[in-house]
Amino acid sequence: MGIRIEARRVRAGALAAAAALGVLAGAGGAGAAPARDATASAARIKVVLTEWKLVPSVVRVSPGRTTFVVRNMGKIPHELVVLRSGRHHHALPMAGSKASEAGLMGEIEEFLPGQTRRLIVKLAPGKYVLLCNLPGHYMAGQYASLRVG
Amino acid sequence: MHKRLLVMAVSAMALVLAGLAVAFLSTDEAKAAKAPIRPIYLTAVEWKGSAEVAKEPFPTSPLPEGGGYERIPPDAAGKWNVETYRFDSAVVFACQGDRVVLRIFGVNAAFHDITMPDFNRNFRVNRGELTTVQSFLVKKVGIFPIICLTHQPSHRADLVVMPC
Repeated sequence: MGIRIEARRVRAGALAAAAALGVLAGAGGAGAAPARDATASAARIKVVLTEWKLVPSVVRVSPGRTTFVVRNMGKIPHELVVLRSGRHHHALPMAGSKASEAGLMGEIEEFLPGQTRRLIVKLAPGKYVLLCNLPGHYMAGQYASLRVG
Repeated sequence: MHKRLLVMAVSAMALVLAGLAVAFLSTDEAKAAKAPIRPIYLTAVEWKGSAEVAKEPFPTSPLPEGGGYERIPPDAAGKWNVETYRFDSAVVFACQGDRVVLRIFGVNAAFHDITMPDFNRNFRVNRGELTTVQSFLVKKVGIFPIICLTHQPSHRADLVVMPC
């Protein structure tokens, strides 16, 4: 009897998980990986911050004025830093517990979970790194690359 | 005849209810509900030391990145400082099946962003606050890290879960 109840719960859980995955896959919403070949049709990038991920809605945009709409969906404060850098996004030089901010293009200072912030930056063609540079967060994996042009 | 049927029906229903109760008590939720509470208290602290170049040369060996170790070069008077962040205690224990209630007090540094990857717990400890982490059940025996991402690699504790 106990086993049957457990099995039923597992089946129900699996169905719920599958449904949730389906919704996420269909919506391409928070938590979904960005489409690797996607190019923003408008210069507007949604960025989702969680522990310890930074997921942009696109990985390539056209040059020009770009709006970052950044939502903190984690449980602790996060920030967004936009750097122009030829280095690989997980190989930025470190300064203590933070990445070097050489090539800084713009920044949203730390903000609380559940909040959304906007940042407008004029981007020239090149390679950029998006990161949360609160101490330790970059090292934990909160970064992504962005190509412009 | 009717009375006999009634007795049989009541007995059957009692058996079914007893079976359901046993099934519920064997689920994870029921086990979690009656798990012994294991309160654990940690404190985030910074150890400091200092010396003078006249007595001890300023060390030049590299330190790991991450903010857990810091060395402040000699000032005009030749005094230099060294500091590191630690948890007090750095090793804590629980028994398999316990529900751990972890509380961390911030003494040094404005804040510490802490992760416990094995239990999906991420939280911030601010100076002067006793942060209570959402409780969790320790189901497996093993060593599970409590990592301060703000001051790596020194600021870390290990939760040791034993089969006691």
